[in-house]
Amino acid sequence: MGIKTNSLLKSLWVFHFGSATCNNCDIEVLDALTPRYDLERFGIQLAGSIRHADVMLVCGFINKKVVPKFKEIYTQMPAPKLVVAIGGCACSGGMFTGSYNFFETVDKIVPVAAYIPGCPPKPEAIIAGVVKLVTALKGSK
Amino acid sequence: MNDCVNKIKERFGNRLNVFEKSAKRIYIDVKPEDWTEVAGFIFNDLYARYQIMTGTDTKDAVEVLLHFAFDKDGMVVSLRTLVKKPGCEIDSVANMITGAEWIEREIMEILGVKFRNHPNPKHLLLTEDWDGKYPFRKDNV
Amino acid sequence: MENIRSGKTMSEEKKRTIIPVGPFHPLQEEPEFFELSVEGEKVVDININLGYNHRGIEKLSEGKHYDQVPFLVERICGICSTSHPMAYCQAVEDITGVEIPLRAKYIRSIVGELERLHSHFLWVGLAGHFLGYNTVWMWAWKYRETVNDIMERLTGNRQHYAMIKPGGVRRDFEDEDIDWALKMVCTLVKPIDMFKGAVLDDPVIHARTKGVGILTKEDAHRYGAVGPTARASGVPFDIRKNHPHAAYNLVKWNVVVCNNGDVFDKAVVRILEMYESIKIVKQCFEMLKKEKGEIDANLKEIPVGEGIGQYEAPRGEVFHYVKSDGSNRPIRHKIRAPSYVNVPTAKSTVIGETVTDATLILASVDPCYCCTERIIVIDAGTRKRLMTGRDLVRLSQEKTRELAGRRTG
Repeated sequence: MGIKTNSLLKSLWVFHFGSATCNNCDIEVLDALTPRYDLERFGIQLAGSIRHADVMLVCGFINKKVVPKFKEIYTQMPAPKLVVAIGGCACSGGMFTGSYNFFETVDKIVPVAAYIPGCPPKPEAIIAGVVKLVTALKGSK
Repeated sequence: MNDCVNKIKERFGNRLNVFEKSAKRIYIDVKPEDWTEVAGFIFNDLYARYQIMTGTDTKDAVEVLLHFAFDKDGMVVSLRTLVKKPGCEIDSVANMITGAEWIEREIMEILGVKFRNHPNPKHLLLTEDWDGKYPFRKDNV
Repeated sequence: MENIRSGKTMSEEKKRTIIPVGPFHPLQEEPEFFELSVEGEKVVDININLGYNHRGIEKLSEGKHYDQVPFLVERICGICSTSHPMAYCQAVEDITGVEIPLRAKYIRSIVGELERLHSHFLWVGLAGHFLGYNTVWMWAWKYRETVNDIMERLTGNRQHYAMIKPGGVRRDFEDEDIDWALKMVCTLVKPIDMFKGAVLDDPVIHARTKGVGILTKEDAHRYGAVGPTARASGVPFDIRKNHPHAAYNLVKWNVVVCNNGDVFDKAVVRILEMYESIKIVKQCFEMLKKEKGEIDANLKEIPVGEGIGQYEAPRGEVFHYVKSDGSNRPIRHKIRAPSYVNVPTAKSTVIGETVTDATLILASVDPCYCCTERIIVIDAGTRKRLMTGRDLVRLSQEKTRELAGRRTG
């Protein structure tokens, strides 16, 4: 508990971006806010606007219709900005890479700081991933 | 034979070809020119529940199925017609069955079938600047 | 420009001023999922734009063999994860005419009903959130975790259970797991009682939801509405009763129907259905302890033909049509999720209502969560963007607070 709170520099605001998703990763992200996992005790909060976010959590894959919107939301994010790919679809496209509506994996569109695989990753995995990311960043300062 | 199916047979006689796969699955072949009339009878007069339309590409035509449920009898009646290529035009039922508006738009863009008098023939799923190849046509016109 | 500040009352004398906010770029023209056009406070038009979630699954299905398809269609929706494999497998079983083993029927119904429970808990939470009852949100999702735990122990995963296959189910349940699951399921009755009391007895919720977003029986027919959305409008069909499959005609349970078609009735239908789901699950678990046997009909060849499968997902009927040419892959797989016919009903239920009620009405058909994130409000005259979905949620929550204040003040 002490290690976790020390490893967070500041209160992280995360913005959730769900593209072509089955919603499972999105629900597990929200689940992480609920009493059992309670992300908020680490100071992690869902930001209402991308302009207030430190981290963008991407769920699902980027399909052709969403590409321009996704790029635009990324530019609206204030620096320093981190993108975390959550779930198999965001990490690699999952089983949808063969689809006629598939565009590219997230990391070919924007730089990705962390990948949290799973289908869906459990809330514990999501929290662990975000904490790992922040620890790594703090270590590299 | 089911009461409702009898009524359909009585009303349209040999303009139809009724195939009873089982008590719960009825397939009715109909000519494109009788499409809206038969659909209207099943939807309005017999008050069946509209479920969805299916479009399948075949060699010389696009097969269009319109599925209705008779929930009291636990039966699905599927109206089938062949929309000949290359023209691929048939009357829309969306002005009568509001719920069919979306699926006709979808079939237009993925199979290239034109639904005459459709209230809103815009792209539904694909981007407006899609390259024109119909994803579900095997000959990819 | 960053905070919404509404100088408002509900009385007629003062006009509501809404300051436009939101994370949109002035030049952004990308259409949102729900585009509400407003004149003052009234919604005068709604435009629904699809495509953000389009993944081309029907086409991908043609490239997979029949046993691989369930893994694909499971991922159509995370919340109705098992509903699509259920309908698909029934479509394939319709082609072959095979009857699945009895034990498999009970297992299918158990998985399906547990999924319904978790989905309805989720919905109750979201509805609570939109209303501003964040405690309801937290508690509903907390109890939902019990269902997730049961699923994890029985099937191996919290979602995407990979349980259903053409011909039966993939995994069996052990007796000791059944006993544990039965105990856990029974612990859910009290929380549902709590939510039921909270919804049915709360005068503020009555004020927010009764008479709001009414879908008439005629409109339910015109749109082909399904599930709780239709049953709340007095349309008394449920695929589990009308087109029975799995174990639904082997156990005792009731279809829940209301008559007013408003948001309140949609909530009541869902909450009362949760009791029925528990009834079904308990009976099926008991039968599993007695009924040993095979869980798989071992389908090998799929003959030429076509089949239709239907399943009552938490949101309504899931419809799958599969066409086979005798090879080991489907040549056509048509998938229709319930939201495809339920979401368009928004044209009839939201227009004419106030913008504060919009999120609640849209949420009452229980559409995909990501889709409800993407709402935008436009001025009908100038076409200028006014609000985003998040602003709408805040408006809705404020209205509840105001109504609650008026009752005590």
